Amino acid sequence: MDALELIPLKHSTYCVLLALGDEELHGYAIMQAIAEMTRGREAILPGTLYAALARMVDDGLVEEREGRADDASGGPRRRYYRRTRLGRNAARAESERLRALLDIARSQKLIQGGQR
Amino acid sequence: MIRLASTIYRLALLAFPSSHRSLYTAEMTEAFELALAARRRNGGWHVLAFVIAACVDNVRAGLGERRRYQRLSALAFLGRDLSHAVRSLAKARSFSVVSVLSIGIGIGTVIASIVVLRGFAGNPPGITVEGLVELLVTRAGDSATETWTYPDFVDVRSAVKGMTIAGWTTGESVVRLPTGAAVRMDAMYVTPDYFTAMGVNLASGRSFDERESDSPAEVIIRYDVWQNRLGADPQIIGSTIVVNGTPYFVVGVAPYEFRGHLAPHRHTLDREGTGFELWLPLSHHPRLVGPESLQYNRDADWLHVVGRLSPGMSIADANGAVSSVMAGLAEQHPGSNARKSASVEPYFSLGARRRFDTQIESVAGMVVSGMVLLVVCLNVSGMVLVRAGTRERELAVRLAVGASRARLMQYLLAEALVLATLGGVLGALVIFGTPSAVTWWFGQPLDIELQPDATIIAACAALCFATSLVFGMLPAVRFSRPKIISALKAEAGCGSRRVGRVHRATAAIQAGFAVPLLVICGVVLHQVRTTATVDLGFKPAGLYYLPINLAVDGRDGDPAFLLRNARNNLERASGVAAVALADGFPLDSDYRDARIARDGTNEIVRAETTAVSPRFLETIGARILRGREITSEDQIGRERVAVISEPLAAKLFPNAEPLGRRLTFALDGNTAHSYVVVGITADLVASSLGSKQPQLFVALAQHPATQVFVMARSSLPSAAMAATFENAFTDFGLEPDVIRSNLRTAENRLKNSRTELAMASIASGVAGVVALLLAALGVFGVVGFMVATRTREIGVRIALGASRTQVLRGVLWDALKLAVPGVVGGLLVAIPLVDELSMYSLGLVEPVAYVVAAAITLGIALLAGLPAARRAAAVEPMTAMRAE
Repeated sequence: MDALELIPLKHSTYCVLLALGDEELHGYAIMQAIAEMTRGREAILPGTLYAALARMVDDGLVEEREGRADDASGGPRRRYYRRTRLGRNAARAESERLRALLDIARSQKLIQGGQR
Repeated sequence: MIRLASTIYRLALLAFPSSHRSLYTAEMTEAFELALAARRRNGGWHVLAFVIAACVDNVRAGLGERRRYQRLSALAFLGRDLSHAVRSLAKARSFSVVSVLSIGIGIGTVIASIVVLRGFAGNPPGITVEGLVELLVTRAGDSATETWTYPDFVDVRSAVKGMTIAGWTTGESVVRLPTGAAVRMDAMYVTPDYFTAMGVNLASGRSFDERESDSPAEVIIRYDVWQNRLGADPQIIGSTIVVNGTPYFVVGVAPYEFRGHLAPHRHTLDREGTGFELWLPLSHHPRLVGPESLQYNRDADWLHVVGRLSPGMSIADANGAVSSVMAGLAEQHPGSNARKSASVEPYFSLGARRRFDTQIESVAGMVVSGMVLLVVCLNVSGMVLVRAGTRERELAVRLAVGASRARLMQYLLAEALVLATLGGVLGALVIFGTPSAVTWWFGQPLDIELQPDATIIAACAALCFATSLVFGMLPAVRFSRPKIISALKAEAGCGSRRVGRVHRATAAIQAGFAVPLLVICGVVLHQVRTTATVDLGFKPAGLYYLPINLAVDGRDGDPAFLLRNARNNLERASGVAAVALADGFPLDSDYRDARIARDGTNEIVRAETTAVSPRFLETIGARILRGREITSEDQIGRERVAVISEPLAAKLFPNAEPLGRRLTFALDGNTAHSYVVVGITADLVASSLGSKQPQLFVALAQHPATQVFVMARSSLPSAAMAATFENAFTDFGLEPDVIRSNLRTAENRLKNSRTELAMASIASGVAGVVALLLAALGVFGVVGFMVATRTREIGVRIALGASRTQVLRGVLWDALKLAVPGVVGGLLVAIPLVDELSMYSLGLVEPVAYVVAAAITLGIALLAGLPAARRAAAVEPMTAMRAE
């Protein structure tokens, strides 16, 4: 599939792709990563997160891997998610799209040159 | 606290589809609990707000996931359902074969009617239809006609700006080939603008000279005439060919695909359906040359007019322009044009006037074939019901393990889709494969071009889909109802379902259709047998005939005079017993119907009317019972006379002597005249073997015709007779090749008539068998379903002491009850039909045909009910008892 076919991404999908970076994270870690990278301004709840992950696995944006049975958490066996090449490309394409919009906003002096 | 929140959260997770829950519930709950734990530091309100937000989020995201799963599963399951359907249909082989065959018949009928309609009214190849129009003339108080007078056409053409207007008419021509042979070709006489108006670019050369009066003798030929008949001469442009005895310069070659702008069967003179082969200048048409030219005649309308609108001009504009010119002509020539007006209509291959009627006919044809398909659908839907009935338990189990109703319907519809697709492919293969199959079998190419194109393929696909929905929907809806418990409790069948009225009525109607078709088949077969022995009323053996067209043949002088000479030559030839001319003869397949009234009454009797020369009856070998036949005394100016056949005499004058009595009738829709009956012939066969029309003969001298047959009785063999005709027609100017290829024997004609009749019988037999087959399928479906739904009741009956024979008889009786009303209706339809069709007295054959047709239909109904009856008789009482 071409990444451009998936653009525009859903907000939750974009957030998850950014939060994953090049790491492999489980669900709760993704929730934390989103909160951290947005300094708490964005939060994602488990329902939305897991619906997004299920969709992203089907679309091939992320890969899913069963965690080990002796997981350090002591809880249920976790699944770990990693961004695929398609996921990375999709995130890049979505970022380009948003930057183009931001450029317009800047030209209209709605915001200032890249600084908030 | 956390546990309570988790429980609430888990409840909210129910919004997600089960497959999602089974994968993620544990992880989602863990993530929720971890997030909740992190928020406990901020106090109780924060925790409560978080729980509410997470639950709401679950419901929202869960419902979204449900929708996504439904979409995905519909697609994924469709593939799985289709492959499952194929496997399960492969197991139920007889059901599948019968269903595919019937759907093939149904869809094949619809495809055939689409193909026929397109062939019938489709646009001929090579022309540009966009912007092409026809110009019509209307006389006050009359409907529009397609023919114009020549001067009106010329005036309109020169006065109307913004459109190319061309005139055309058809004709026949004798062309001498380079080999020396002469052949007849279908010709069109056209004005130079004709090809421009059609949007046709000539393959090479140019159109005719623009000068209309005194135009040079030029001809345009069709590409394949040049290639095949004129030896593909590379120097064809500028060479000369002899047409109708006159040398013409070939100035152009029309492209291969262009065969004139008329729908193929609209060529009145076309013998082989190949379209027009050459185009001649209109100014060379016989009506525009010679002392009787119609060049300035504003009363004789004979010319067709077409036009091409220039870009940007609408039909309304053209209409206004042509109408105003015609209004001007009406003022200038009040005598001839006062009542005439003109209109412009879009081009239609059958003629603009026929557009509406053709549309009605097309709709009627589609409705009829659609009805056949509908009947087939109802039949197959009956059979699918039977099949679904026997699988009720399986379906109930599927429902019980969580299949939704939509899933189950999709599962059931997948089978219908597979069946319909196979049936559609079968029907299309039969329709489009027939020409090649006929060619392969008989070694003779069939002159039909059947190529499926994108439109037809799309129509087939749409038909298959619609068909599968029509016959698959009812069983799918019925058997996807969630009646799990009752179905699981009963081992087989549940007694609560009933066969619908629609299915019963359809089965009865189909049985009804089969009866008249079978009766007709029997009656026609009997007639074929009878005609082999019956007295035809004339003697075909030794009778030769040659068709002559006086408009084309005999152009070297006065055609009537030359024909008289040729006839005298023939009479004097040795071995020729008698010679006559007529505009028709027995079994010529030309219907010359006239409405005859006895003088002084308004009672009308229809009769086949033939204009004949003296000695006609003698030549064909018909018997004169009383009076005389037409003689050389019966000329124009003398009293009009008629000779009638005995059946006509009996109809017109039941209890009186017809000789000397008077009749009134109009020939060819002209003015009615009074005729005196001068002779009575024995009954003789009319235009075809199937027709029982009585006959009437008038004098050819009093009713001259341009198309006549020269008939001769002789004991000479064909080759000698051809030579005799050639000698006799030397002065007439008819080419020996034309004579040899057109001279026919009446015996041959009789043989063809018998074949036509036999084909009619076979056709009605095939239709009858197809109708029977459909009826059998209908009964099979309905009775099978009845049995499937009554298994328990039947089991109880057997347990209570009913014998298996009684059960068998009961079910067969049901099958009979289904067919009887249809058979009775069919007989009522058959009686008047047979009365209309039968030529000879049928005697005992008629009641026998009715009885046999009814018996066959009922027998087939019983046979169709037999499998179900045997299934019923084999029901184990224990099955029924266990079910209770």
